[in-house]
Amino acid sequence: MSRLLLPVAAVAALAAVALVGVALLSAPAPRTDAERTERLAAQLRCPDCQALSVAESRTRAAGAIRGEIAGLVAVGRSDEQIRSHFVDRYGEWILLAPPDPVAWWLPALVVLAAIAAFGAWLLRGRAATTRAPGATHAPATAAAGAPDAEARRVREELEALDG
Amino acid sequence: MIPTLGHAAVVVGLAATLFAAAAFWLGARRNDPGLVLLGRRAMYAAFGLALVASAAMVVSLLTHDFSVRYVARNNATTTPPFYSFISLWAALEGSILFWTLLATGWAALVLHRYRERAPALMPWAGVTLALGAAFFFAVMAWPGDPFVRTEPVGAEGNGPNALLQNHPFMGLHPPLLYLGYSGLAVPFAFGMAALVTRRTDEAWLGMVRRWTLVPWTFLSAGIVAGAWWSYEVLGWGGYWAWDPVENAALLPWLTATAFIHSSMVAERRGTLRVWTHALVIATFVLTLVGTFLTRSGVVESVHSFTQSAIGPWFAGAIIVALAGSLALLVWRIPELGDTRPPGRPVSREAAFLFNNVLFLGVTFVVLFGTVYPMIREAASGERVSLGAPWFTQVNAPIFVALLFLMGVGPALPWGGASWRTVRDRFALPLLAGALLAVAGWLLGVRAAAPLVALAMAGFVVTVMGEEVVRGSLVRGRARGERPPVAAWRLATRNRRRYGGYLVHAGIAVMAVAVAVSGSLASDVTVTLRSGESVQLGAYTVTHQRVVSERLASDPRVLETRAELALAGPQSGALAPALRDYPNSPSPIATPAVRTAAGEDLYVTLLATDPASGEVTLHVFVNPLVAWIWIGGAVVVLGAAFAAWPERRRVPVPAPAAEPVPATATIAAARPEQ
Repeated sequence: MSRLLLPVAAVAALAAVALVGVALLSAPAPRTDAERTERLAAQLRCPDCQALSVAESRTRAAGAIRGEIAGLVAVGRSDEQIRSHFVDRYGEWILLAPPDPVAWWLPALVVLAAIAAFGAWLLRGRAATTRAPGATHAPATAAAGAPDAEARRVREELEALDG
Repeated sequence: MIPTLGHAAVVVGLAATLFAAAAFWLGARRNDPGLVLLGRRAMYAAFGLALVASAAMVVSLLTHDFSVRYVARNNATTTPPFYSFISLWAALEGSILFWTLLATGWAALVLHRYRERAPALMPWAGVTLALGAAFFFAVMAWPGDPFVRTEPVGAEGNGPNALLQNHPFMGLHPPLLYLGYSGLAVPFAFGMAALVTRRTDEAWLGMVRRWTLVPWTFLSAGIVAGAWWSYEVLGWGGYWAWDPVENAALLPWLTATAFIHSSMVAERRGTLRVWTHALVIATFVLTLVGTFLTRSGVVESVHSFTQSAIGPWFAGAIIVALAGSLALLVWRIPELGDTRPPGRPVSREAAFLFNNVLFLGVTFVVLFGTVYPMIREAASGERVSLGAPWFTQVNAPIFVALLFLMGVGPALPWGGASWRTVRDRFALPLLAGALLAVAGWLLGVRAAAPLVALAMAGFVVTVMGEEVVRGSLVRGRARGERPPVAAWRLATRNRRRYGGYLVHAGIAVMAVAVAVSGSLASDVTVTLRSGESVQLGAYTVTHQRVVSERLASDPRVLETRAELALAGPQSGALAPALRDYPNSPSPIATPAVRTAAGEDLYVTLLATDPASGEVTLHVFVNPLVAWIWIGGAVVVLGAAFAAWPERRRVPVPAPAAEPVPATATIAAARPEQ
């Protein structure tokens, strides 16, 4: 069964990745003015609430900004122009996801560096000691050698002990 | 009289905890069980005193004793008894008192349970727990005194914060969260004890994991209950805003989750001790950071309490706890050190540790996002803010990787996997995940997040399902049990593993629900006259009339509600309302939520015009939101299943080639897990 399953799974996985890719690339193109307004409103902080966007909040100030965005959209301003209009008035604080390079790059670099260091550590350990003392490789070796059903039983027995 | 009693209990409680710390310390140094017993009794007394102080506060609230400033500020004669009672944790001083009650309660429970099982660790854990409790008593004795009196005594109080008396969930969310927060002091105390006594062994690890899992369960429940509260009360149609205090609750949850995973590797391999300790320390310190952020007023948040006098105290506590514990850890590193990787690159060990890297990645991102605006403002004077879009975009790839690992970890064997094992175990789950994503596409889902979440959920659940089925069949065949019986026995004999699977299944459900509700929700804002209706999705909402009346339960509150008729997949009457509280400058929205398995219909009343009878409504259709709460419940259930004490001791294999004989000795030497 697994001989057939593997190629089918591979094809299905590729198809799923492709669909997600299509969804990622084709999704965010707002067509109507209302959609553009909504999307811009979701990027601006509501000035008199806590941690909510102008799109989410229903305070008077948020309503006024939404109206203003709709007006700017209607007269044909670009998204960038509209954002900078509000940045000029309220400061960069109004943007919920500001184009601050530190805010984007620092976390990304830290996480990537951690992943890289972890990977290097794993590989170095592999080079130094292919087998850590006391490592139980029984599952893997058994699975490679013995017939399937028995290998699974061995594995099960062992893992039942894992707790 | 009663407030005086409460204040006296606080002062004596401070003395008792300081005495306990000294007695434990001397008892441990001199190896004197008598002193240790004295310390333990002093901690029981501290719990009793915290109980007396809390009871004094509750009585003061229930009897509306406005000579107490806390009562005058947070209570009124018309406050219903339920909300008077829960006002114990509705504002700064009371919440510290409540925290002290829970912290001393945990301490007393743990010291009692382990009085004989861990005689070497217990006194040092007692020193740590007693000092922690002493800090809270000291905060109440000086900057955050809950029993401060006022003169003259008014006839009426200010009443509770309007938002906090608007929904019974306030009786649930904070206690769960505090139980989790305060309980995380226990693993820290055991960590300090292990470092002092040089006993970072298997028994220690089992104890610490158990006492991390228990508060973790409460913390998880508290976070989900908080999201639910936000959804049911705040009226913006969402449940998580990456508000600084939401983040503060998440931070220790993240590191505790990392610990729960790495401890399994550490236990199996007898390595990773430094790392294990570091996670325990980080988790505890992050609970203090969370309290500091909430209570000091340094961040703007829906949760921030007004006063900030206790800020410096908590800042000091963070510095002392962090510096002290790290110094101790660094001092012990030469004895703890084994820095070799515990498994091959493709092994369950590696998957679990990669999980740790990613959980700490999210921790860093969330902490950074919470404090960066403050740092940047302090450095350059510019105000910036990082909001939900930033958090979502930066965290999304890490969350996806974590979901994927949730399937990879259980699929890989310990030690290392051959290509053949990998192939056998991944083919079907990958297929299931991919088919779910394709099915989502065919059903019309075109957003990336729900498709990815579906694929990951299908993958994860199939990995676990395959294993449960296989394990049950093997067991059933070997012992002649019917499959359901075999499955149940398999699970109850391996509570940690199968409880963990249940937690993972709950997380998978939540991930799909979060992704779908986040991407596929729709909403509309409309103003309707009487008799007019609005359509959203398959629903029609018709405005009938506006009713204004005082609440029967609290006549100071004027409720204006829109009586609406709902037609569609769900039908009936809806009544979103605005409530005017005398102590709130703006009315509090009370949304009407109709929950069903497929989607919620959620209506917030924004404004009414008394002259024309018009209402302005914000109507949402939120798909699958109910599944976030259901998934959360499954997570809590799974964690409780895993943490449930086992009657039968499960043998745990030692890191040796022949598991069975070695485990027998360890299991015998092991305290109850």
